[in-house]
Amino acid sequence: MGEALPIPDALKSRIIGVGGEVQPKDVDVYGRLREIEDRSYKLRTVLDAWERQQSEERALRQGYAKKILIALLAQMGLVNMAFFALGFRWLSAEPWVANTFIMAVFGEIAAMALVVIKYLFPKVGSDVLSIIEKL
Amino acid sequence: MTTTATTVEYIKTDEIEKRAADVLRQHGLYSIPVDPVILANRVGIKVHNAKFSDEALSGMIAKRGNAVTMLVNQSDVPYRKRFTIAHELGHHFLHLLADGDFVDSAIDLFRDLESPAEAAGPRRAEIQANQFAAALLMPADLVRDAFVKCQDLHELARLFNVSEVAIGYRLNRLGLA
Repeated sequence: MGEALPIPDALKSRIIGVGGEVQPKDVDVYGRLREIEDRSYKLRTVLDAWERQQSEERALRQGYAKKILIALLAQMGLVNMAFFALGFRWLSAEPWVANTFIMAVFGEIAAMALVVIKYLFPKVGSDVLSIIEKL
Repeated sequence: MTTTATTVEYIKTDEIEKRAADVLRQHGLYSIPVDPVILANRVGIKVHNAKFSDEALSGMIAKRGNAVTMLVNQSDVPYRKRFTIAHELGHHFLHLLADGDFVDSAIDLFRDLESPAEAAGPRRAEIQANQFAAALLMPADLVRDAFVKCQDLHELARLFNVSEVAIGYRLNRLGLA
């Protein structure tokens, strides 16, 4: 604090120090409140949008996951039926054809499981956190 | 409260209201919320924060020739500072026609009615400055207009950028509540 103002001698004993100039924003009581409310409103908007997006994506993923699961079950049922049919000789096929068919189906199942894990359940992005930090 | 101003003439409350409104109109600030810092700057007064030897002091104004110094207690909350600045502007416009100074304590700032015993005393200047401050921050016509549209005390306080106590007091004085 430095005294840069012309202060009458009679008042100097009552003043310990003089600080900076008062600006309009320093006395704008509700301005600060409005600022906080605006920031809070923006934050709520971002979080609401993020929540909606997450819900929609989850619903979409659920839909895909169900369809893939049904396809996988059908595939597994088919390969098991084929396996038993070959075993009980209701079907006949060259051994290499049967082996290739069964291995190919299990490969397909593994690939589908990989697709589900990798693309339907991606890592949670930090986009929303970076947006919040900017607010 | 101390003052070096000698005799303080009696001014009717209506006259103080009118002078405050005129000052706002002259400086293009007759709209809410009124910013007393901008008004002070427009009349050539810089307002500074200060640490006083007595924490009970809210502000002071001193005039020496053309130089006017206005100080407010740095520890006070924003709405108190607003009122202090408006109060000191009241001294500036009503009492500091010549050199002089006013030192104001927080206790004095909400007194706006003159008792017969104080009629000729130095408190008259403080009471007038309080009336001016209230009229400056909450111009009567603007308060009435706002009150027609909204009777919520909290919302009115926000509109005028004053405390709820201050707007409640003002509504009472204007016979609106």
